Amino acid sequence: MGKPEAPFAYHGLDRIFHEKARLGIVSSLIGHADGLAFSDLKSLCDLTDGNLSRHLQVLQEAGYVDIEKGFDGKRPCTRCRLSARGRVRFSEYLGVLEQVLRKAASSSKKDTGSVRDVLQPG
Amino acid sequence: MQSETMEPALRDVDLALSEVANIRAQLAASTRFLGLAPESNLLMGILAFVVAAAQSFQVQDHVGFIAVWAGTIVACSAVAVLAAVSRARRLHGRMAGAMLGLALQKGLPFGVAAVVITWAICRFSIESAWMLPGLWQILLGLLGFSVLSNLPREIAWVAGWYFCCGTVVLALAGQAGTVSPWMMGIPFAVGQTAVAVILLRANREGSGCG
Repeated sequence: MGKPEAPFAYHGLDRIFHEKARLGIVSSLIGHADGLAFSDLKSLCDLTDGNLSRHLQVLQEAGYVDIEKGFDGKRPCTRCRLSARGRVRFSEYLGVLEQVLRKAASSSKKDTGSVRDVLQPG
Repeated sequence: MQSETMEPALRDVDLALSEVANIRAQLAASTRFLGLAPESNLLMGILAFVVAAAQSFQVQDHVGFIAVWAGTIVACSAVAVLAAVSRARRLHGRMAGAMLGLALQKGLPFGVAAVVITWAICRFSIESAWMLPGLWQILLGLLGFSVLSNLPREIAWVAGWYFCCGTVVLALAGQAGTVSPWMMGIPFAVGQTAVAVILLRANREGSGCG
């Protein structure tokens, strides 16, 4: 999280993960130790070929995803897998996300309590 | 009015927190556990061979036999646990807690079963102690199968090895009515050495999911 004087800076929210399409890609990959084929990822994340390729490139350049090009029989097949670094960094990202949500929940509960006290005195 | 809109919002936040926790659990469940050290597994295999060789020169009753091997297994387990905690903290980073928790969740039932079975047989039916080496190996084989999702796939062969050895040892010991040190020494020397080789190859290839 941010410095004490900037508690809402959320420096730990890695922008590479904190993007809708890439969050979807990484979330799809976490449950598959052997990775997913490009075509499967495309279906799961509802992305076009170009979009998916671009986001995978970002993740690969950050070292979060490994991409293997091989063959499924005679057909070329690209397989994507979360790297070890990607798993650790995503876990850290989830930790910051949880802090954000807990802070929001805590603030909301305080506000709800204050409003209740006003509406139902005593 | 404001409180009416805040409570659904709180529920949404709680739901989101629960979903993040689920994602964390999925992440841990599909990540290869890096806490197993090739070196310590190789040492376990060598130790098993040495203990079997030393025991083969001595005449021991069942109690003595079981005590030596139970002590060896406990010592090896303690070393493995300490190494696992140290390696997990170093290699898994923030995920270390979750990975160690998962390892404990999967391994503890088998450990408890081994302890309880050993205690029950030694306490109430010492004449059946010949069954213990086979039962221990079968339990170890089952443990190996249960943790496959977090280890290199080749570990399945080692799990199968222990399961088959346990069955064969049970049969041989049952026929003979007694146990030989090599009924423990050979399966564990081969099995743990194989684990060390598999882990070493997997670490070099950087394969697996973690």
